[in-house]
Amino acid sequence: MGTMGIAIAMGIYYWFARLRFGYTLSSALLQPATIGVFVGLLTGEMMLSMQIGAALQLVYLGVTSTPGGNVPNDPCLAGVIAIPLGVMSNMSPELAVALAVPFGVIGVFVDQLRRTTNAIWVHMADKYAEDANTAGIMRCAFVYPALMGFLIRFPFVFVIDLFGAEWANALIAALPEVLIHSFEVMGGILPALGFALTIMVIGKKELIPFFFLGYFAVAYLQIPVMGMAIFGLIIALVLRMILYPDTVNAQVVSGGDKAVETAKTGLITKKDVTKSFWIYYFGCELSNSYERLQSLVFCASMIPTLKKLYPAKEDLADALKRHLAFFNTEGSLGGIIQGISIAMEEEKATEKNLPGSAITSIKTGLMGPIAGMGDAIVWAVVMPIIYGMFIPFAEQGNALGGIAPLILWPGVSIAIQYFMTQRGYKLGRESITGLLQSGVMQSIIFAANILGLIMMGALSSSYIAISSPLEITMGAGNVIGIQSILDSIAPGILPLIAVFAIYFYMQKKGPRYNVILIAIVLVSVVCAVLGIL
Amino acid sequence: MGNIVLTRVDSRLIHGQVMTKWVNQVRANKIVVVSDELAADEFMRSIYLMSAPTGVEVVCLSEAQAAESYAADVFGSGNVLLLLPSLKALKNIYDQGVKVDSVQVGGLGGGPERKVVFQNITLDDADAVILDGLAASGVKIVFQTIPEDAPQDVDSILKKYRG
Repeated sequence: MGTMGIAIAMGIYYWFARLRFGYTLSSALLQPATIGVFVGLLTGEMMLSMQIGAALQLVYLGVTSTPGGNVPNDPCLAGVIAIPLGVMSNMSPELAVALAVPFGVIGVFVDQLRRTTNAIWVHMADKYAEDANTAGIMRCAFVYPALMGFLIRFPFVFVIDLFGAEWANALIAALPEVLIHSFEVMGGILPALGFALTIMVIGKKELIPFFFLGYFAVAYLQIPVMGMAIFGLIIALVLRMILYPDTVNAQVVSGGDKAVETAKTGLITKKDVTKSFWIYYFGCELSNSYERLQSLVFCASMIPTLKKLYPAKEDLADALKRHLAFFNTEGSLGGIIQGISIAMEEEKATEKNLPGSAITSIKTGLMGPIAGMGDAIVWAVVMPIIYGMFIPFAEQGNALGGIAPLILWPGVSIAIQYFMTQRGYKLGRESITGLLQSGVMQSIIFAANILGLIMMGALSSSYIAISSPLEITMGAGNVIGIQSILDSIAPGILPLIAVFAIYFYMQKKGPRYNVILIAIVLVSVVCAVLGIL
Repeated sequence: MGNIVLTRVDSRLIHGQVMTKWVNQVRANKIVVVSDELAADEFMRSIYLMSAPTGVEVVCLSEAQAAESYAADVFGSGNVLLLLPSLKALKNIYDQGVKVDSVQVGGLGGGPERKVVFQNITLDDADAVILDGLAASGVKIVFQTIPEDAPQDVDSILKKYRG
């Protein structure tokens, strides 16, 4: 495909992926390894596309978790620009990473623009709710943000991808050799930032030895990443069994003895609940605005059930307005809140003695704790592990490295959300007590953290490339490489130092992404010029 | 004696930003949630207590209890992340003697009469007055949702609100 075609396709891709259509599906499309597959298909250069995708994925592995919808960096904008430009001008993956970094930063501002304009639609929806205009609310939740998103996102990517390859080629030709080398050094160090960030998010300082376990298992024993994932899982499960013996046999979401299904009228069928679940899944982040975050889509997702429950227009309007109140949670575990809300609306519609405020207060009360757990499991651990596991494939130029996570990650999270939604509807309020009571969630978070740290250690060891070409001459013609001395102390000690230097900086000063980026650029250039790295 | 490592005003109280970012960033091992509403709601309080991850203790107090507990021994022990649902709640406990010296406003949900000032933080006129008062008493107030962002100082936020 010609440059024009690629530029158009990438512009559309960026628009569609950033639409956030499909909660986790879209987040998979945002990942560089998956973008690599797409660029590979377009350009016919799957090998290089995937290699650049893998290099970028390493840098942005820690950016996968975005609690509260705040984007600290935009891996997708970085990917849709650096991967096609890198392929078209035949760059090394390290050089493409250097090109990508500034776009990752610019992407943050683009997203702020989107969430600011999204406030318009939620205000419009307020008016539609007054008239119980459900079609209008659906348009506000899906159509308008999508159209606006196109105007915000397409032109930028299109222009850069259309002309960028020429600029990039000219730039590379004009750059002195030492600067190109310093970019390569930088590309080798940058993944350390991604791993340090992931350790921060997993966050349990006392569990950091598991990071070292993963790190040195790879450094000394050369265990492949996939193998480490298997051993890591076994270690995590065994430790969970030892430390949380009571939870192992407990059913994950059983309500215990109190598991009484709430009375059902038969008005709402399992199919209606499923319909609501899909609307919430697909629109979860699409209409997200700074002002009310997920409230618009939550309201939209309740429409199929509310319409059945409230035939009178005023009642329907009331219910719609109720669900336009501020709401935000982690969508996968958040399914349980939707299930509970449907059960409570049914109770309200049939028994007439439940005040609407009771539903709102359950929703706003639960959204925080559920988000706290969902972000800690689903986004901080499950997603980086799934992507991390397949980076080795991507790195070898295999499209599987982007395709497998595209299927696995949404698949796993949709299954969780579906289960949670049906469970929440079936058991009502009790479902949540059952979920939390037995300490099962804590034990799952614990096991997930251990597996996550082992995996991050293994990946750090495999993919951060820092080595020193320095040599010292000792006596007559006796030349010793610094790197071989370092290796004899402990293999891979420089990458480890890089990860923890960044980690300690973040722990002290906060994860100031851009400050750290600039520092890495400076260190790379200085060390490359001096010949240290 | 507890050690308050962060005082955060956030209408969502405990949620992802607090659990996956701030607890780790400030190394808190105790979250003190001060909310009359929550303290009075047995069911919801039990949810909050049970949702605490390993190694972090969650305590729910009413405003009066918070003032008492602060006066006694600054919430007992540990590195405390003090969490309040609104600026009004903050002012109430401040006036009752919980003299925190710095506050982070991390999330205030939208609503009628409320204006967005920074990301998902909104203010109304009453909030602005409270901010003025606290700032005048020497409390250092910043607006920041996640540690990755640069904190915004209260003057620029108020200027934006009134501008």
